[in-house]
Amino acid sequence: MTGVQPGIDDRRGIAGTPAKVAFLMHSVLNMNVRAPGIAVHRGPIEDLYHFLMDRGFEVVQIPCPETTYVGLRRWWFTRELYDSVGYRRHCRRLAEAVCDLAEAYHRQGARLYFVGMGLSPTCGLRMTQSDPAWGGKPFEVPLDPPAVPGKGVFVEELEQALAARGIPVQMSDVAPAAIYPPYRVPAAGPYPTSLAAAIEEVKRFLDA
Amino acid sequence: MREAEAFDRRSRRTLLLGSTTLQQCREAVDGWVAAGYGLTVVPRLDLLEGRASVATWVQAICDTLEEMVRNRHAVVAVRSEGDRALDAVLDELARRGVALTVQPCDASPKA
Repeated sequence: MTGVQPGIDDRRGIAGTPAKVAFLMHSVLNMNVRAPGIAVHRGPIEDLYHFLMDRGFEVVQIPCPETTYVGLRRWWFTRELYDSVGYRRHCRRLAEAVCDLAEAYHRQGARLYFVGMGLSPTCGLRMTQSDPAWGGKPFEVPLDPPAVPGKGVFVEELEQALAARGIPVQMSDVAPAAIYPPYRVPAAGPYPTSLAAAIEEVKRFLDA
Repeated sequence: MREAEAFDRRSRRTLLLGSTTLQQCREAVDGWVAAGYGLTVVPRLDLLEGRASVATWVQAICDTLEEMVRNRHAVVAVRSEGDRALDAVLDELARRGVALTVQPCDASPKA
């Protein structure tokens, strides 16, 4: 190891303070909270789990706002279905709790990262799913997602809460190719379209 | 089988642990991950000592786990000594009548 001072290593700061903290949406480490029919991993995204552990990240797993509000048997939702007063309040409360922890780590001098889930109506950062026609009597929806540029409801609330407190956090989201079945990966847009490229993108983000 | 059902690869198995345990028992946790367990990690709530958001964290984590148990997912907890954050979650789950199996942090998943 080079350039290392006594009491400091390349992964953790002074006196064990973590140098890097990754705030992960729940399903990055546990796909069991996803809505039925869209989980391509049994548990965590294993490549990312091992990467985070190998790099010595402190991991803060954010509870899934959808699971804790709607439950595990939920339908596939669009952003419009989640964009309600009650769900926003739920997300805001959770975002404030996340901010309390982020603030504590920030005071310790840690570098903070947030990893959302691409396309999610709750925790997508670059794209989300939107279709104002969804609602009312259930009907068959296409397998390919109604993807649009935009952010999920929780990400919006988290960004506002972090900005209000002046907490700097690097933010990204996992590309759909790493988390969705192939039929739900948009052919166009900002995300890499292969699994390998999607994983590499997150690793590069966390290595920055 | 419909295409959407074919891609439902959720294991319906979760390992609950504190972030302290995750760091101290990496090798054992790797074994659970290889066996298909998803992870639910309780963060270092000691950093929030005295703040109201501790309750928000504990309630949200317990809501997640209770929902899993209600939906017949298997949830196993492992803990290393002194993992106080996990204790708060286990206490709240016990209050709700959700009993989890708690194993030492170096336990291995059953085949």
